[in-house]
Amino acid sequence: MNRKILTLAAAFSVLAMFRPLAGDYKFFSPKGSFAVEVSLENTYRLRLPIYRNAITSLTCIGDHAIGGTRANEGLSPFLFAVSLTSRSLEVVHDLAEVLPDQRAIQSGFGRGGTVLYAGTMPDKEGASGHLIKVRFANKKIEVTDLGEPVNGEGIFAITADSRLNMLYGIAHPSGRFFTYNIQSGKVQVYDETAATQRQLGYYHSYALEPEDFLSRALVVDKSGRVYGSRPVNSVFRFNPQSGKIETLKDELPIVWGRRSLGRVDSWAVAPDGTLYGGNAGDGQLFKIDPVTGRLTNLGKPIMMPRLVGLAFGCDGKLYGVAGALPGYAHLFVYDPNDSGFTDLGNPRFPLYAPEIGGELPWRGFQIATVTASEDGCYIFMGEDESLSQLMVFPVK
Amino acid sequence: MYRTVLGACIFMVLLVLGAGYHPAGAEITRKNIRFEEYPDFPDAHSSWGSIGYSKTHKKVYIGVTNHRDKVGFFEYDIKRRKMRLHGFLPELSNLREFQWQGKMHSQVVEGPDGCMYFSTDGGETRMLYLMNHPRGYGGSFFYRWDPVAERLDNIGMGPRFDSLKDMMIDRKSGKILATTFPQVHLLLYDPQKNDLRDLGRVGSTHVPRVLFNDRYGNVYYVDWRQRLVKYEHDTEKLLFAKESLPFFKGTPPYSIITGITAWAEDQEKGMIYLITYGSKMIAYYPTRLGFGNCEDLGGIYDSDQKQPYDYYCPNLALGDNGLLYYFIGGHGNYVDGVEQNVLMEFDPEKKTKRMVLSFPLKEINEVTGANVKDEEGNIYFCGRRRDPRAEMMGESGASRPFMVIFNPEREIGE
Amino acid sequence: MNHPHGYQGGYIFKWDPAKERLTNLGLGLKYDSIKDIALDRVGGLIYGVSYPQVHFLLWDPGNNIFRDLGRVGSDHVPRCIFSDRWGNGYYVDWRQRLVKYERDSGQLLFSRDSIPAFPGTPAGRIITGVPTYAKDSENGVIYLITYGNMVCAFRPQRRGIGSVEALGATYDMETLPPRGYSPNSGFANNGKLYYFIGGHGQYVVSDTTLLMEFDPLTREKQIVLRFPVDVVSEVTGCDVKDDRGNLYFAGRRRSLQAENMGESGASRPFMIIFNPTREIAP
Repeated sequence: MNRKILTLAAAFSVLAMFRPLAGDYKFFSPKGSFAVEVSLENTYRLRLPIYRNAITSLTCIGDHAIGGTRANEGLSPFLFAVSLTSRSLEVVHDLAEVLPDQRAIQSGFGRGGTVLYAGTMPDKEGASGHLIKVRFANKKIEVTDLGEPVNGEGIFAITADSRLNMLYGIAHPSGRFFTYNIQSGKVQVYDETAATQRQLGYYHSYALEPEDFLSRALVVDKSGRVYGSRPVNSVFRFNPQSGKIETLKDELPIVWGRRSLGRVDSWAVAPDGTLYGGNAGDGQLFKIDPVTGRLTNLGKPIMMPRLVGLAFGCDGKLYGVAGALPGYAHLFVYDPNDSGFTDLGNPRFPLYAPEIGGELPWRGFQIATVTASEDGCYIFMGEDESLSQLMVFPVK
Repeated sequence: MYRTVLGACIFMVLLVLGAGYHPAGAEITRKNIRFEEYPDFPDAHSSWGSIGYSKTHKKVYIGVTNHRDKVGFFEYDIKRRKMRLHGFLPELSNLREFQWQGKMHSQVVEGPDGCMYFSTDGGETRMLYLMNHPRGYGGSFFYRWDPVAERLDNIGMGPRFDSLKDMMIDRKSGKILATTFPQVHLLLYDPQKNDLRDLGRVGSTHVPRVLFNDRYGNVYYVDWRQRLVKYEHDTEKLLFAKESLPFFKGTPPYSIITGITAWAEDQEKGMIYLITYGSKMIAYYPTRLGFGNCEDLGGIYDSDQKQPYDYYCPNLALGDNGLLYYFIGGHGNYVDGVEQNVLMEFDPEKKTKRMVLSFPLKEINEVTGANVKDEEGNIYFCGRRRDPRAEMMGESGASRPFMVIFNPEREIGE
Repeated sequence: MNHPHGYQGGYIFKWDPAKERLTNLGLGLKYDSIKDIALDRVGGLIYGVSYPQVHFLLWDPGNNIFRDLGRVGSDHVPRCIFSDRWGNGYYVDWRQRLVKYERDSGQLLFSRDSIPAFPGTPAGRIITGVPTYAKDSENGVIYLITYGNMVCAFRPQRRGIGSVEALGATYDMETLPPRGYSPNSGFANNGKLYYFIGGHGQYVVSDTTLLMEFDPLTREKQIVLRFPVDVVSEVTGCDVKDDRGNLYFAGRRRSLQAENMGESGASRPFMIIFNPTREIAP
């Protein structure tokens, strides 16, 4: 009897050890979630090395998540593919093999059928970023250099419209908008979205650099118009039919006194065509009705700035990641038809490490990208760390 | 003949001995003033009343900023006529980037322990709004400089996100009174016990920039009605004067709410001179308990061209000759419609004033600093000169900083 | 975090025993704690790890240089950083592999292999890494005890990682890894390793903390002393020894009076002095 009691007591003691200390929270760990070890320095296994793996571009083709990374200064980024079925990193492609002297693929991917397009950021200031075509087939990544759309500038954001065979991008550091005809290779650059000298002075007084105020993402609506943000705190819309750029009447949502921080951090298009966006400055979610052009502030999911990623799940809900350094990520879900936000908290998924013989509990702190599988049944999140992993959870 | 020669000799000896000496009221020339540059800080932009004198060590201390995120701490050795940079606050006190400080705005005050005390300021517009944003301003610090050990100690923060615009020491206890920006809270800090008390908000839209103290250990500030607020050393209580400090009829309320911009003490007489943002010169006679008398000495500048309350003067000192000296001009506000900065002399006995020198803005465009004087009667100010090369270096105009040394009674120029 | 009651972040401090003066050397990452530090006694660098984001941090206090070398773990922050005679700094990654900041090259190196673990050691223990170390300075060995209760001998080298040898369990049990928790160790002048087992609800003998002696040469171990938890409930501290061979630890004892005083159980703290070769009790 005594032994039983002691055994029970010991068991409770051990259980108590794993209980969050005085925590009134639990991590977001839905059944079926997992993390894939994409990065690991010094290993026999296929992994990305340290300081070259922040997952700054992410999309999904069939069973595979395709990622593009950002490296530290002087290092080159990778493209990689992770299989959803095998839950492992299957393909790695060092961009430097095709295109040296580039530091990051942070533009996001534009998609034309099974082909992906991205832009690169050069390693050296004043050098040019390139457009690249990425083909993933037969467990192989092929990269084709499409050249420099804007001489002396990197490519900060990109999107594609496969119907028009067009790519659209934001150049860094100017913020100029450009179009690229995939078929002809013709580039057109628009100055309207660039920061003026006066605006640069304004940003300077807030110690903000182009990385802080340029539109981090672009999106195409159902009628082919392209949206992004432009200085200061405004949303522009490019009409490919007219070749004209207009600035929407409504600005991005602001917190008083912090207008300088406003810029688009992420986009997602709802099944009904409504555009949902995240404002980096104070982490507000907003939506734009493409018909009226009106912007609605939906509020802040959490207390921190940044709203780095958005993706619609097959349940019709919008999943997003808010918060970044000096804090860390919260996953949230927004139901357009229901009660608004739910803060799902910090994600913790099991990460399988073969040599360990078990599943390591993996928390995502800094997350740079969010995307959904093609059927919307899985949401993928790319970490933004010195050693970054891919985190995946199913949408119920 | 002999007597004439002797007299001439005596005259010559006196002349040699007294070379450069001007009796009170004598002509003041450019030779009475000298500028000292700040070495090893090529992107220096300005300084903001952040100057103070160590009686113990005969040195002047100045905080100089690039008006962005770098504050240099300088020491001027009076005897050796040597200005040197001790270092920059982030390095001297191990600040991280997210603890950036835009300025030192406070006076540098000698404590009863012989150490110099000062505080820091966000100093830029972004400090007002960004707060908890990664680029936001976390709050300001109190510092103590030990001139013997040549060591800077960070002695703690004020309120989170607020700046400390000025601070002053209770000369007897060593406690610090300080005012925050933008919330205008008066703080009482005992660094010995790490006891920080928020005495509450005493202003609103504009934060008066100056605190001052008296010989009894009392420390003063002003409330939104420009009434003196006194931290009474003996009772450790906060007292509010019933009446506002004098102001000209028609002085705009925003000038009233801005309070006092400079002060200077007549230690012999135990009285304090004040200049208000409404351009009044006031004599205040402090008492150990309660408030003493205030005497309206008139305006700081007389002209038909402007209202008497419309002159900008964030500096003041009392010469050994018993006359007050101050520079008028700055922040786009200059006398007689001319872009000049003028050095004024004010006789508090006679309530008369005169312009003694005028400087184009490329020489002096603004002067700050109050009550900084050494035993030889040299008065020290923080100067700025307009300099287009300094554009884009910060807010508050393009400028370069330097130190002004002025002695109304002696030639000190190079 | 940014709540009015939030935590601003952990500081590095320097205590000057000669002047009896504490100097604040500055913060690490905003909002993150600093769970442990180690000193480079050659060049004056300080190594640290942040919590909860597990960033390996590097300070050069002489030059006020602070470098974030990036995240090296995830769900659990291994609590122990240590350094070697050359001033290199060591930590472990999420696979319990040694991570070394190599002073000479200024680079972060990762061991290819994990520090040994018993088969079946739960991954949740692997990710918790090494909670304690003790140095045998004469022989150039650093003894490590893992959260999986494996005693290891690490032989550092100036460049590269060095070798790690498994010496066995902290406590012999039929099923390995053994139970227990040892966030402490000291290497005595008699060439033996001493550590206490117990704490955080993990005891090999119910409500009893054991003081163990481990002979690295023979790999034999024995219980030296037993303490009920109201005498010693948990012991921390590693590699603290004076010139007379006294080992020092931070002790806790269970104390119901201390309830509601904080997290991590009700306890009172005290210091333990232990000398395996001399009587020191009054």
